[in-house]
Amino acid sequence: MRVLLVDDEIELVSTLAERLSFRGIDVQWASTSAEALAKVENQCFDVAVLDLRMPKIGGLALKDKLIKKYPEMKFIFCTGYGSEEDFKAIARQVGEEYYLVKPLDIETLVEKINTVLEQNLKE
Amino acid sequence: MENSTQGSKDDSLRFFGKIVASNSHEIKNVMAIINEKAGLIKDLTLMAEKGVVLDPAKIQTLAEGLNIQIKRGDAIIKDMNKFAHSVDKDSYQVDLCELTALMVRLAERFALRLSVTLDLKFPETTLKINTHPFILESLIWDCLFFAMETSAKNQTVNITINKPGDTAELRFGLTGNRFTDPLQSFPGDSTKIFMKKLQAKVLIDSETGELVLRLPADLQL
Repeated sequence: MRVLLVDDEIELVSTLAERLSFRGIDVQWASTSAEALAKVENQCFDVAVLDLRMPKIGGLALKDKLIKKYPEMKFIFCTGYGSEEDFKAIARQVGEEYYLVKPLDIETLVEKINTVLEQNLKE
Repeated sequence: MENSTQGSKDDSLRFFGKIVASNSHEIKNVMAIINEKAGLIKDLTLMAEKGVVLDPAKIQTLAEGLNIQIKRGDAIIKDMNKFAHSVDKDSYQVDLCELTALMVRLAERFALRLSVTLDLKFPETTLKINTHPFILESLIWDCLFFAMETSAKNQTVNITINKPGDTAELRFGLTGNRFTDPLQSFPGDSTKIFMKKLQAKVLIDSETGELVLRLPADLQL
């Protein structure tokens, strides 16, 4: 299993990657959508965890680009949006089960990653 | 007129909300980083309990990273607080350089999203003016946003401040581009109301191609 983390907050994404690797997950990270697209050029990923709000290309637009290359790739989205209304609006777009609000709980993230991978295997 | 005044109030409120929302999002990011770094310290401690050697340098780096984020959060909160208090009184003396620097800092995240860099140059001396701070912030924001949207991607919006005669000026220049007179979409209705309230003018310097916001140095309300 290989996971790609993308968030424009380098300190966040690099620390999160380290914590996931301690939990046995093969993880790579990128701080821009351009970097993420470069990474998928020579490596295959099962799951991408994307920040929704990033400069230039946000998480949803990045998903559209990644899925063209890897139609089987699964996605989890995260954001710093605070309000209940924001949560509902975004959850409607991406699906509540694939959506996490920052600050993240690492165990919940690992659980979500495993859930989407299991779904992938079933499909 | 009543409608336009209400419109101006709505725009002011929207502007206020936009700044608060953007900054609370920034604070969420700071908290998320602190959360991960604290989590990593916990992970390392648990691993140490199982016999993995704890690297003191790693812990020191994490602690330094936490300090950086706490300072970052503190700076955001100070700016938000300063901005919030600008609505306290109708008119008082402000340092135009400080107020402009605050608006530039508040606009940084929006600039990043538009792939534009903001470069503010201060004059050699401080520049105090009597004005309505919140309306001036709204007006500077409108000019700054218009400049950012006019700028080409990956270019710089250069902001300079000076004081010709009994006026004060903010100049917005574009690297590799010029504002052309007359402007098609700026200033809009609400910006015009802010200009009227501050007896300000927005013009184009045909020589330099800069957008100029000219303000009276001593506003008589």
